[in-house]
Amino acid sequence: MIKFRKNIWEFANPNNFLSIANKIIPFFLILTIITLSLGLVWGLFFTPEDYRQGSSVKIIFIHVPTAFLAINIYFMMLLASIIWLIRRHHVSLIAAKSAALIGLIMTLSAMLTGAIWGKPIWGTYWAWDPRLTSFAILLMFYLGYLSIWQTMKFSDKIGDLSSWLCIVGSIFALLSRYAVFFWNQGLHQGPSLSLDKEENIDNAFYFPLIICIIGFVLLFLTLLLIRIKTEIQKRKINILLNARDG
Amino acid sequence: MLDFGKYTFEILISYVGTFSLVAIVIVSTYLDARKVKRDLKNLNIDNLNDK
Repeated sequence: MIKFRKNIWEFANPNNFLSIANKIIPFFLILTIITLSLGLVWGLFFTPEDYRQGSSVKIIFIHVPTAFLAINIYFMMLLASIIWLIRRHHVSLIAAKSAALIGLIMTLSAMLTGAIWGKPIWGTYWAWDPRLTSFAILLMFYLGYLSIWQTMKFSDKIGDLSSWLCIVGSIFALLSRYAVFFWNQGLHQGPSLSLDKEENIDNAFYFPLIICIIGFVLLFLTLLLIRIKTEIQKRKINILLNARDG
Repeated sequence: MLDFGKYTFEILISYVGTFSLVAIVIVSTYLDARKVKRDLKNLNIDNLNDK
């Protein structure tokens, strides 16, 4: 256990992180292409129509993975921000910063596909439903977090500010995640995936959906590793330029 | 081939919209990584020349 704890913090060393990232990025990239192609082709072309929703159910293979990532990327950013505030590891701060744009895009995509799906099923593109509203607020927090980094230079103070903003926003990420369980008055249906087999969607949709979720998670991890690597190299360039110019 | 009946437009716009958004991140990540790699290479060459 002690050895494991010691090893996990070795990732906080940028050089160790870069050498490990360089080795696993190609592997992740290949896995992403395979799982996403398999999941999306299976879901789009080889699944039946739903007896109530018709073929519009095929939107699930995009909507659920992007919504899953929108929330969980925020939790990952929260964890990285807490590590930054407690242990002051720059790699964790860079990880949170690098994940934010991907999280924003996933949130936008989940809201777009949800709205398109909502029109034929609910009769409206948008409703002030608890889950939809908490998603809209989550989007605002992603935008706020990104604008802090876009408008100010990389520094520890800005790192602290963005980390605190991330912690505050996590309340809405939690609401987005659990609103379907404890708020029954909304339009949004319950979770598509559940540990209770009775509540789960049919197996015809379940397996391609799981593959799509794995594919999107791998896509996120691949992009995240590349973005962290680039960000570390950017900081390296700044240090070299400062050293050269005195 | 891409005929999903009544909801073909909704399905296609969802997939195309998501792919377009994801493509923005992929392209920006790639271009950023390429630029940084080039800058780092130039900087290392400059440092060697200075020595």
